[in-house]
Amino acid sequence: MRIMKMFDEHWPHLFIVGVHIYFLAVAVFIERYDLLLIGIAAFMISVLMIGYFTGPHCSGGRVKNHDGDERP
Amino acid sequence: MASARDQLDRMSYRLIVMGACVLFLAVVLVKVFPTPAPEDPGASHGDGWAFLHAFEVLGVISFLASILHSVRNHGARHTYLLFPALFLYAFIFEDVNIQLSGVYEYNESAWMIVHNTMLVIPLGWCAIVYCMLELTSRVPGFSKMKAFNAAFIIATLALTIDLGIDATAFAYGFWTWNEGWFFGVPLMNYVGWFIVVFLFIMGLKLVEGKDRDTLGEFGWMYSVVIGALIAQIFLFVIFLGILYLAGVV
Repeated sequence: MRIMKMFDEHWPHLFIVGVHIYFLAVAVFIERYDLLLIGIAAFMISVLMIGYFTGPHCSGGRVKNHDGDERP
Repeated sequence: MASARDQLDRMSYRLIVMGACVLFLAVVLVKVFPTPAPEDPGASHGDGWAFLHAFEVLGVISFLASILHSVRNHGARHTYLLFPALFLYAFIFEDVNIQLSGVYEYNESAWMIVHNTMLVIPLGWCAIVYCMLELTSRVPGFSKMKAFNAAFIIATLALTIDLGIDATAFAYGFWTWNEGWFFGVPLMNYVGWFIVVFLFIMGLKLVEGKDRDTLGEFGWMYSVVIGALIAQIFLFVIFLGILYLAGVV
C-alpha cells in the first residue's frame, strides 16, 4: 500500500518535524513569541543537521531506502 | 582512496564542530538577550491542560508508530530487543533522576504518571532514539563507524530536538525546573539529554557484532542498559566531585 510505503520511508522525518511543529503551536498558544523564534531556530538547526548528515552530501551521494537499496 | 568509513568519520568531525558552533551561538544568545522564565510556571493557561494531554496522547501514538515501523522494517526480534530495553533505561533514568536531583518535577495534572515520572517521557525517548537510529542507519557505512563518533552524532541530533522544545514545555507547564539558565531550563538538562542518548548508543555500538552465545541477545541488550546506567552514576559522581573541589557543594 502506498500509505504504508510512505510511512516506512518517512516516519522518522515525520516524527521529528511533528515534534517541532507541536511545540511551535504551544508557543503561539501561550503567546510566547520569543520561544516561537527559538523554536523556529531549533527546527532549522535540527533539519539542517539531520539533512546534512543523512543526505547525499555526507554519504558520498548514496542514500539507502528503508529496504536497503541504495538510491542516488 | 579513502574508504566510506574514513569518509564518514571525517564527516562526523565536521558535524561535531557544527554542533559545538551551535552550542556556542546558543550560549552567546543567552548572554546577549534576556531570557525570562514564566511568571507562574505551575498555572494553567485556561485550556484545562489540553496541550499537556494532547502531548501524552501523541507521545503514545508516536511510540506505537515507532514500534510498527520497527516491526515492518527490522523484524519483530529486533523490536522486542530494542524497545523494552530502551523504555526501561529511559524510565529508570527519569525516575531516579527526579528522586535524586530534585531540580524538576512533572505536572501533576498529567493523565499518565507512574511513580514520579510522566509515562510519555520514556515513551518519547524510545521514539526519538529509534528515529535517530533509523535515520542514521540509512547512511551507507554508518554501521561501521567508530562507536564514539556514531554515538556522538546521534546524541547531537537528538539534542537539537530538545533545544527548541524544552523551553516551551517549561513555559507551558509540562514540567517545572527549580532553577534555569536558558528560558528557565538549566544547562544540565541539555547535558543530560546528550549523555543519556550518547551512553546508550555507545553501548549498543560496542556490543554490535560481538559473539552473543554466552549471554544471548537479551543478555547483551540489558547489559547495555545496566552499563549505561552505571556509566551515568560514574559521571554523576565525577561531576559532584568537581563541584565539591570547586567549593560549590
